[in-house]
Amino acid sequence: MSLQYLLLLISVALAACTSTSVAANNDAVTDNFKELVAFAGITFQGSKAELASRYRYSSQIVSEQKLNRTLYQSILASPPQHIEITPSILDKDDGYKYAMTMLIGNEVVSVEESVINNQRVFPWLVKLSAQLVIFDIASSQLVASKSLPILSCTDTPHQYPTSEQIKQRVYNMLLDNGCGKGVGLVNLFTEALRNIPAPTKASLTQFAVSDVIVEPAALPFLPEEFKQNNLQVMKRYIAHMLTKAISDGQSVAIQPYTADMSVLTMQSRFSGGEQTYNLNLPKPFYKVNFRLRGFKKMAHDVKQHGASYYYAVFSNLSVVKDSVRGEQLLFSQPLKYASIEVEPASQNTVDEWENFDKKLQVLTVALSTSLHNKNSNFFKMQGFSRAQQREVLEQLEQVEGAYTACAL
Amino acid sequence: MRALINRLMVALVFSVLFTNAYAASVRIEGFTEHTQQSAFTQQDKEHQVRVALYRAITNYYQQHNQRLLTQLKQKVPEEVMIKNVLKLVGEYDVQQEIGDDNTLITEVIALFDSTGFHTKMSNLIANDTPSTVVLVEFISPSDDTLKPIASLLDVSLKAQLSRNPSVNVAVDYQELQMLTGGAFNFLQVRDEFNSNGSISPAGLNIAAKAKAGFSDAFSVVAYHQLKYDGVDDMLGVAHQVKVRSQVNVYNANTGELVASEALNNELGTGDSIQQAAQNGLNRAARKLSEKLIGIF
Repeated sequence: MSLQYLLLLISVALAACTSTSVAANNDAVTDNFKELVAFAGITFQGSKAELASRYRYSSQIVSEQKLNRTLYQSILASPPQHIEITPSILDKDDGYKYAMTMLIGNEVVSVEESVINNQRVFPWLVKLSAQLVIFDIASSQLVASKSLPILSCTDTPHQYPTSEQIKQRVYNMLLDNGCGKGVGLVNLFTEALRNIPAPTKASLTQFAVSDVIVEPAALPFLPEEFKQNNLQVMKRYIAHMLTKAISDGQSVAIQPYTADMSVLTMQSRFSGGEQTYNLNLPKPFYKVNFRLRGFKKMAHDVKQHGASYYYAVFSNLSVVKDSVRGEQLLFSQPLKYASIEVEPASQNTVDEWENFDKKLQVLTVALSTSLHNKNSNFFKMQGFSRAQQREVLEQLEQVEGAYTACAL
Repeated sequence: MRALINRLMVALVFSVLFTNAYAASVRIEGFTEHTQQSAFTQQDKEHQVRVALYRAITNYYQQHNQRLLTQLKQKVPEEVMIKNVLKLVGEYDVQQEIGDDNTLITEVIALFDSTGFHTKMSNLIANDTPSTVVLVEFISPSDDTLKPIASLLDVSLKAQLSRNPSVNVAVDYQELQMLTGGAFNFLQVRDEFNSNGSISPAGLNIAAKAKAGFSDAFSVVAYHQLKYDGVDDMLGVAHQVKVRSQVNVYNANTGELVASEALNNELGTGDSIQQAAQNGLNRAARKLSEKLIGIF
């Protein structure tokens, strides 16, 4: 057989092989590709040391009742449409990098004392907030975040609620019967996960809440547990709210404030690579700095049957671009939020922190949403002069450019 | 005519390289940015998908096995890889968009059969005369939970290395002892490891040279440290064993250390502790053998 003839035969065989394979693989460009995402269960925002004080009931219940298994069973019964969840440890060397968790960010238990119809009552409230988080452990970035509806249950018994009663209520809210309504965080999470889109590739440029300062004027209003560790608990609380708000509101690549317990749990679902636990987060391209300047309560209307008060929170927000060329200030403004709370005269005790906390939560959300709309009540509330408004709008334009650069 | 024969060789290589369907896949990512003055045709777009997939493969090897990447670039021309890359990947996802400056941005995520590819690369770069490798492999459990089962575990680097056609792996230690007139004695080597936690390769090198005759001879020493990591508390269903491995490769003729590869964070899981440990060892052996492609 001549060499030319051999060549011809091989060329024909290869051409046939090539066209078949390309056709077969073109068919493979489908929506069937589902990212395998590691299941990291239920986690808590903050450090391990904060569990007992900030998540007194929910952390106990998750551990004692093995709620991670319950959550996984719930996911199996109603699996997500766009991703695949695995309870196995994934190997980073095989290219896997996404983990998901139900991140509990806040547990509030508040008991007050009132007199209604000459009878002492003890109105109590339990509030749980959580979010669905998908985290890219390779680049340490949140790639998807969806806040679950905040569950808030109240009761007004004549007896001071026992610890066991409160624990049972938290259990119900976590499972499936929050406030007797047949809804709990586990099924809310499963429903949210069912529709969550596949994680997008993490961006090369990302935001991060870089620095949080709590000024002395804010201290008298803070609960003791938030003052722990030289105010680190409060700083992480604010940073987490801001991070969540920016992720929810702008769909941008954003790093967590610190590699907290939640991040470490997600990282621990992976093997391979040089190390599993990575406490060093990459340097963010855009840094968000937040200064909590203080809180203020002012009378709005005082009458015999009760009074209404303005609860206000004051802050300063700055956004800095940190590139190899150096730092560039994009935005820096004082910002505030206030609204009215009614306090009936029958109510003997008032949880002022709960009211300030509500304002703080609204403020952190507004910073990445309403602030960008000059017709919003929040923007108008700032009382900018015409000259200030021009400056603020120019600065906001730069921030919006940064959001676009980090869009997922 | 020589150029024609070279082209024929590459074509033959690819026909061997890409015939098997992918089996165990890894997830790879790549992207391209391509600007041109004219409008993008379907052909342009498909070409960019192939380039992005090729880059995804090279990105993977950049991170995981630079030695193999070097071999790949030396042995297979880039344009040939790009032309045939669709045969290497399994399922893949493409996102393409055209930016304002007429830049076509193509991003791909794909499943890639790295294990099958490693085997084929081994075939591709195999020497005419296989090298002889004398292998010793040691397991050291670092806690009491694993000590009782250590003797029940199988080391599997021999099986993994033997998939490489350019390697003859020798582990018949009695034969090696006879060949060397006792200069190599596995029991002494094992005692040395148990006392010191490491061994001198001198005896192995003598054995490798004796076994190899005129072919290339190497000594390979692999250590595996095992640590029981408890039951996975997420779902409480699987035992976990952490594995740290190191492999040293010596040129038996010169005594030179030619490669040293380590794995720091392998994990085996299983319904029993033994199964978890075995899975971890198997995983470590697979990765170590992939890291050694191109050395023998």
